[in-house]
Amino acid sequence: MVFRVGEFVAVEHGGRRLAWHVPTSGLFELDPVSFRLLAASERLGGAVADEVLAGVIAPELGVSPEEARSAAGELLALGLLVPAGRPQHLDQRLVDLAPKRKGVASLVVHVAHTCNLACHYCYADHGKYGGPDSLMTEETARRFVDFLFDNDPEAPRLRLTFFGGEPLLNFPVVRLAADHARARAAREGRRAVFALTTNGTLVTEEMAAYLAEIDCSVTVSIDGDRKTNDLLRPFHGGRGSYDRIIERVAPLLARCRTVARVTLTRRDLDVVRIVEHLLGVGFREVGVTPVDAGDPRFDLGPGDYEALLVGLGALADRYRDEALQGRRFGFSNVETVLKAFHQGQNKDYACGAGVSMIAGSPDGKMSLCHRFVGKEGFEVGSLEAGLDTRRDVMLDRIHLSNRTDCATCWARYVCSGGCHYANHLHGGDVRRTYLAHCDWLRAWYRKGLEVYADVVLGNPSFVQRYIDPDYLCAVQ
Amino acid sequence: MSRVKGVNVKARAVQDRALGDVRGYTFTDCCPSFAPGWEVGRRDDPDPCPWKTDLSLCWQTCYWTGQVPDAFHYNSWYDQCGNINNDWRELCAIPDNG
Repeated sequence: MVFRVGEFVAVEHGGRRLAWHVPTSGLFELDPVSFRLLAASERLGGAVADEVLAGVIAPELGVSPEEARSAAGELLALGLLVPAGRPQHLDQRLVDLAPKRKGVASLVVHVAHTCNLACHYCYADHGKYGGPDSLMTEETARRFVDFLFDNDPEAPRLRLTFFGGEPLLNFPVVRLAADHARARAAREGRRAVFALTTNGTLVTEEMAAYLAEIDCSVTVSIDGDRKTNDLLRPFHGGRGSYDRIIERVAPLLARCRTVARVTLTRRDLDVVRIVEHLLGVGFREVGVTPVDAGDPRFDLGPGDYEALLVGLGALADRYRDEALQGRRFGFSNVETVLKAFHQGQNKDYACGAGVSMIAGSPDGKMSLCHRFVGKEGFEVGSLEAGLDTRRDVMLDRIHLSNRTDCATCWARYVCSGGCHYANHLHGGDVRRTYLAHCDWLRAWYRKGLEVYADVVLGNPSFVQRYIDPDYLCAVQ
Repeated sequence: MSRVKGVNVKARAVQDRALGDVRGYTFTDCCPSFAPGWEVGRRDDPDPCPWKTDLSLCWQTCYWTGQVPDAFHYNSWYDQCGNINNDWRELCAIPDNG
């Protein structure tokens, strides 16, 4: 048989030889002969005939022609080698997250389109999303919950995320919506799960007690220590918010699963210091995301991404070292990629936006996701009419197959084109991949592959306990 | 599969499928393939499907002629295989003449 190399990424790391198979997202560890056979085949280019395998590659590897054929047969069975002459697009994909056009199982409820902070990089016009200050009414919130429960009656688990603006400015409606969802879930034998994203400045003991009672995951937006946070996240009058956040989140840290979410700007990219500081003040987990402000004062430039990678790499190493000792280091960005790599995530959409998740506004409109609320052209329905054909049009537009920039990227089934909003903001079109992100994302994924291999091969019980979704489902 | 080890969940799933694939086509226990060998399950056991345990019956009467060679053109196809449970490897491939 004449063969050529399939699509894979070779990773030599820690004395191990690994191959990430792009079409399936399978990660394999290879013995020296197989690994070198792949490398030799790649070097020889287009197609390798049996005479070349037996006469050139086998002597080079120091094995008999039969051994080389046997190794090649095994690689062929796994798709790391493929029969020559077969178009690339026929490579077998095992898609575990096939397009799910059934129902929406996750709803981001914008209970308040107003905010008591004036963060400089805010994409949402200080919480107003381009409209007037507004709060969601009880009636609208109740109808959104009913929409979530009714649009896919078979979904066993429904997720409600309270968002804003600042959702705690409208806490009575948070409470009403959650109570309504809990009552419906209990009546229908389904499960409602809750999350809330807040700036943390308005939390009271009573709110924390209620959020703990409904087992709500809380994400607190905070950008680091006092200096950095106050530079970026002031109150409207200009006063910094750090001290107030730390004072007010104490009952949340004590009672709820509370995660810090850091928006990274080019004003402070010392991500190691930021993460360690926030873990030090009591957050169980910290996650970071580079800002998409459309403003050069805050958005990262090419050199910034390289600097950021150094810090992220150090945090990933720290995560690995702790995991090998059986401890969990609370840097959630690493865990996210480890989960994707462990499962072999292979997806056609970058995220759940429009697929299984949408956002609901105070005026009853539904958008692709929370970041697109108020943006023209990204509505996908309304409480009056439900989800409409605009959702289908949007799902066609944001599908990976439309992202021609991604066609040859090894990470395309993991990243799947990145954030739709970032693509829209920076490229003017959701289909235009934001290429400034790509190099550092690929480098980050590669680092993640190395850390994953170290952890899964070095301490499998850690992976089973914290990374494997089957286990996570079983214990929840 | 001695030289390559599946590390993540997906790789192990791919390997399971590759192991059960006697001729490089079979994806699960059932048979989407036109090649003989389909009657063997993924662990090299005879497939438990009662329709397939008696290959000669299928060969003669199967409603889907793609499953096995038709008995008219390939009437000696089964001769090499005395016992389907033991000798399934003896089943010859039908050349693809396009």
